[in-house]
Amino acid sequence: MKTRFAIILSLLSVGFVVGIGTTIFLELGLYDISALSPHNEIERRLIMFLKNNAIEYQSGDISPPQLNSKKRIRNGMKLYEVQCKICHGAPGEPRGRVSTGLNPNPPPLLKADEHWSSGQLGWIIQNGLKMAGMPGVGIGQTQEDVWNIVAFVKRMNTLSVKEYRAMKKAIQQDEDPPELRWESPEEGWIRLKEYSAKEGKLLLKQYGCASCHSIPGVKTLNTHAGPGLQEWKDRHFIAGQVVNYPNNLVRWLMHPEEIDSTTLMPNLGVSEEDAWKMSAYLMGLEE
Amino acid sequence: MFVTLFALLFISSCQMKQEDSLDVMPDSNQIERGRRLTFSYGCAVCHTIRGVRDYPGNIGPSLVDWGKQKYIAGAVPNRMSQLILWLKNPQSIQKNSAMPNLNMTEEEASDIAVFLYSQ
Repeated sequence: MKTRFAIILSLLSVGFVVGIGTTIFLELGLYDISALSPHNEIERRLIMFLKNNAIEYQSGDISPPQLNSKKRIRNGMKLYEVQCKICHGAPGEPRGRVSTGLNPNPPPLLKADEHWSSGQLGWIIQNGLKMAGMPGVGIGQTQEDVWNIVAFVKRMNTLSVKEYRAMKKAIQQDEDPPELRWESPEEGWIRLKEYSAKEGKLLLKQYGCASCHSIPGVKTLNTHAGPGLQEWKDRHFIAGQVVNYPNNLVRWLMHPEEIDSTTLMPNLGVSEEDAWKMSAYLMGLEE
Repeated sequence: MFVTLFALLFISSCQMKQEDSLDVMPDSNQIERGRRLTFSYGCAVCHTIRGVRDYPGNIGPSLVDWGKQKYIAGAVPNRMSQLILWLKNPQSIQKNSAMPNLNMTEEEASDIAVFLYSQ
């Protein structure tokens, strides 16, 4: 009985001290409210946790319409250019000056498709996010417009800077060049499954890739001449030029100078078959 | 093929000596200024950077142990002067680079560079 009383009393006093402490902290204005200083790690994790769970729960089971269509992506891009780019930027283009210094930083949407389902993206765009500076774009816009923006955001996941510029030009001049591919490509991933990652690993060793790159599973000299290839699948760009997509990776391994004329990565005369095998191994490197 | 590899290795080992020499000794204030600027310019939304975490963080290459990296964008040797130039105007070094030109000032770029070499 006595011990129970003591426990309750100590809990109450701890609560009292914490309460008083918090009040003093808030009252004196000690919280670092400057947007230029990052959140500390605990705050940051708490916000991310809250945000992820709330979006997941509240977006529920919205089922998106067919999004991978030229018409939707074209219209979505027009809206994106006017409404979203100022904060989220675009391939090769920074966010506008107005949004520099925002806290939290508006994330680039190049990988949004990998983090959120189409339904969730639609919900976020429609409703916006409290405490993140994300406005509810749905205001004054039809549901179709919102889906069109989602369609373009998903396409951005596969766009290189050059492709993006070509699309932008087509929109500004109201043209439709036949060589422009509006829909997201999907066939590279399907083809990649036909090649052996195990043989790819051996080839990476034989071509001496590890003399410049550190590659998990391949003995490396650690020269740091090229970037490390850990978790390669999660990397977004190849040489900052093209999107890390199987067809592009194969082209890069065979003819790096075609993708980036200034690169120090040598053309090792890799055959197409070998390039696909090496890509199969590299694309298997994920977290 | 091996000739190319050895040539590359040779070039890399030559540059190793140069990269240690910073133009000025950084003070801790400059490093902290650089760290805050790195956050505010949103560098960490694309790059993994020790000491500055942001979301999603894996669009560009990781900058952990940046000082050990031999080249910038696979194009120029990783030196203070080149890094400042790269931060201010990536397209002057690599045309069509996905790294955006953020219009930072010379002073901001040098603070960020000092921070990147320090972490």
